[in-house]
Amino acid sequence: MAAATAVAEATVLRHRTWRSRVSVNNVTLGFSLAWLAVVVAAAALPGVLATDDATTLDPTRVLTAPGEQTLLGTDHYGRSVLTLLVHGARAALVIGLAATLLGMLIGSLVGLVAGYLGGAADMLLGRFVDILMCFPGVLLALVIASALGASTTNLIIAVGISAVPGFARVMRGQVLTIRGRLYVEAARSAGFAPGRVLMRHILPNSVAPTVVLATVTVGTSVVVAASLSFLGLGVRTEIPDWGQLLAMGQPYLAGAWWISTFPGIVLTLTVIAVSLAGDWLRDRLDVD
Amino acid sequence: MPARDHLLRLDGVSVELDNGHRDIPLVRDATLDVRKGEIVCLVGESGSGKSVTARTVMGLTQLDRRMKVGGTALFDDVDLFSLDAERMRRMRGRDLAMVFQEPLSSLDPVFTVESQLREGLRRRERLSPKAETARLSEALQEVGIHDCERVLRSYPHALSGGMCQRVMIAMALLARPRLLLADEPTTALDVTIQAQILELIDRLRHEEDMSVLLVTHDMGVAAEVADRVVVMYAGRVVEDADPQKVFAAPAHPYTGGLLACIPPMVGARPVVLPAIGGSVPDPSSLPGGCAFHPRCVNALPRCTTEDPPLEPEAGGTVACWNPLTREAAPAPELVHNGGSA
Repeated sequence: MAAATAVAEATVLRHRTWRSRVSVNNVTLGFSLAWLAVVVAAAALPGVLATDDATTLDPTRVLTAPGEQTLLGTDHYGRSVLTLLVHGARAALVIGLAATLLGMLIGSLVGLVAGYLGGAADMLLGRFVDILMCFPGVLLALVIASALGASTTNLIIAVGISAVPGFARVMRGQVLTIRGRLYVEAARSAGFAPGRVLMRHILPNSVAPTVVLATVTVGTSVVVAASLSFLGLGVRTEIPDWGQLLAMGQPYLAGAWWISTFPGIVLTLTVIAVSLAGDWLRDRLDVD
Repeated sequence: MPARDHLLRLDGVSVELDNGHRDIPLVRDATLDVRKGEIVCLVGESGSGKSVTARTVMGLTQLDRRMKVGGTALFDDVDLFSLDAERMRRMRGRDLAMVFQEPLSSLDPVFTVESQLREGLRRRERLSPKAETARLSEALQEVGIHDCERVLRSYPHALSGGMCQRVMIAMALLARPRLLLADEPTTALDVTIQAQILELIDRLRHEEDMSVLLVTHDMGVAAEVADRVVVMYAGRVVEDADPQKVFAAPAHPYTGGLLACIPPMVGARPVVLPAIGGSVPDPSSLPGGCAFHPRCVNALPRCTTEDPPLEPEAGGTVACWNPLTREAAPAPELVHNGGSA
């Protein structure tokens, strides 16, 4: 009894020290989360954050500098860069999240099966992952995107597949660790079917690192998707996404730096915010 | 011997680990019986193959493809080793249950005690949620946990080792097994809890008419609860006898050595406790003949060439050419700090 209470108290104490440690980074974390909230809000309700229409061309205010008529200046069609950025957030987030989800599902499944079965299955799946890993993520996505053609779905598939190896490796390693735990053997000795042991005992104990990796992958996926758009492999729509906006502003960089610069800053901030949030989550979930 | 009396009968069980180059024997020709309602203690040093034997009966060793298992394990006249994986799996958690050495890591950290016990109970029978809860509380009370509600709601990290082990035993007993395999169930616990757990196992086997194969390296534990003591060394059964016999007049020099290591509770204590010289041989390089001969005080020239069979000797069975119970030719002393009878 006393021992049980002591353990409970120790748990509470550990949580307290964790709080005090993180409070040093609370400011950056706060900024990160606030920025992510803004991006999510822009993606969800672009009309609220940017009041003027993103598709209306206005020859009277072409290439105006930031602050003259609009906060972040206008592009060569007279559209507000701020409005375009706000409206581009949805595409960036949808592709980032969907690609991460896809990569996580496929990768985790591959890692789970490889780690649990071992032997020939592990070897085959391991080589498959190695092949995917041979190519840098962006290059792989580039190849897939150009092979499949430009559409939102294809972009998600391309970026998602490039995220598969990371998830597969993390999950496999975790499953190998958890598989040897005594409670897994105890579950087996209680006569549970292998599938049940895998899904109920190994999987729930293996997800924490995957969750952390997923947050970071959302950031990189946004960048990869933007890179593909920048290279012209993205979806051509009336409203450019962040990658396209970067590409669009490139010819005007000497005179109207703001068209390319602001999307660049927004992308950078988003990725940094996501990875800081990921770090925080890692501490929180106690993943090494 | 009347065969119907036996619940578990291991005959010539061998376990070999294929390390990719060759087969390493972990258990060699293990032969032992567990009768109904009996507690059999499997004792020996670390690495003597006792845990592997227990895990093999459970069919857990076989899950590792590198392990090769031979011999027969008759459980109620069914050879466990001849069952396919699926039928063996169905026996686990129903006819056979196991309790492990480290209670704190035997429970899944992400689920509450309640959900894990429920999961175990459902292996055995389907009850209404209410009846299930009643059974869980009953099972916890059986193992001496009285604040059931708190324990059921707890996650394993919030419980002490003794509590976790009680929960593990409760879980094993929910299955109402006919044979409980307990792999050093009290080793990780402090002495008072240890005594309680042993008492609990002893009481429950009477109440439930359950047989127990208790793996331990602690002769004291064996003395306390065993109906029969089986001593293993380097993967072999070297002695099998009643505890009275084993403790009063051990036949195998190894058993004698193990007993000599226990400090006497009365009288003067030796300044240096006697110990068996050397250590358990690596299974990949066992000495020829009797595996114990390099450490044995009674070794004969014959011991270095021939492995003795397990034969009846003074009321038990022993695998030794020169047992302590037989006043044979004076043995040439090979090891000087070994225990003597």
